[in-house]
Amino acid sequence: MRQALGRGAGEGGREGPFARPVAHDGAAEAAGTAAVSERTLVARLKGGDEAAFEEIVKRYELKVFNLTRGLLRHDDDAQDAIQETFLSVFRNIGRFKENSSLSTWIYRIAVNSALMKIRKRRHDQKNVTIEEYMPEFDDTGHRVAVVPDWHPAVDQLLLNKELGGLLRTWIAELAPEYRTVFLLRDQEELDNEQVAEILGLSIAAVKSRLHRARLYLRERAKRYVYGGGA
Amino acid sequence: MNCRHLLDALSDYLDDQAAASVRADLEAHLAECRSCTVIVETSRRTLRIVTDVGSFEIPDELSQRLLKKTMAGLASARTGSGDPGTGNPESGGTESGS
Repeated sequence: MRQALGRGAGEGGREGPFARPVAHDGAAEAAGTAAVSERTLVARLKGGDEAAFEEIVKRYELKVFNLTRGLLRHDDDAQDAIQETFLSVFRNIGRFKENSSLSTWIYRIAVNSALMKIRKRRHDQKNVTIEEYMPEFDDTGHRVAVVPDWHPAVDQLLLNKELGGLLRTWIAELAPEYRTVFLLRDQEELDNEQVAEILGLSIAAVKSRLHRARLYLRERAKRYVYGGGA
Repeated sequence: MNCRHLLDALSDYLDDQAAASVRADLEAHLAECRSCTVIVETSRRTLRIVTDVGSFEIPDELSQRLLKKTMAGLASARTGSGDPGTGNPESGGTESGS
């Protein structure tokens, strides 16, 4: 099995309770040899070197697969999106100005490819209405409903694993604008700035969509654990 | 700070990106509000499960097949047809990014 990229040591990471390694090529460029290798690969690719293309496919295919699989929900569509993404990389590498990292640029192409597929088959998409999962407050800004504490129950290994699978399903039911932000931030572990650059959004918009997606998932998990329906 | 304010700042707090003053207000509220404490803990737990589930894996056989198909598509790629574009995914544009 080809393992996930961008989760190893030495790639930097964000701080906080969810501190995880982040593939941030800008930071790596200053310090590491991996980024030098990336620049070399880009230069070779711009020179038409097919071996460099093969190397780039191998290096980024899992990132692209995970993102497009999460966005498109189906393996076949994700595989098509991978091919389209890398062929687009090859076609457009001459226009890649290297102001951002190659991975950011590839993510951008991959998202674009996946969203085009989603638009084409919109008729068979069924997305949740996220507002149904947002909390309600009274006039004083306090919660209307009592909040049950379900997190000790989730410590049970079986429920934890079960929820893991369900969370993937629930993420897939998010509207694309939320799904994209959530997958890039909390699955692919990019930071707000990278996601904003990839999606052409403001950082405030990224944070707002991420926030609502997280609230939605927490609420779905709560309803599942308490039998209120997933 | 009330429950609504806490919720507005929740993502920044979970990511340890809340300003120090906001964080202090938020933690003062948490010390008094059981419901918001549950919200914070269960949100943390939910995101941790997403992380623990991890990413999909590509079987080597599929990986090799994909590579072969992609490399085989190189010739037609040079003709420049069917480009999904590199522009803003939100707009579906085709402007080349950098």
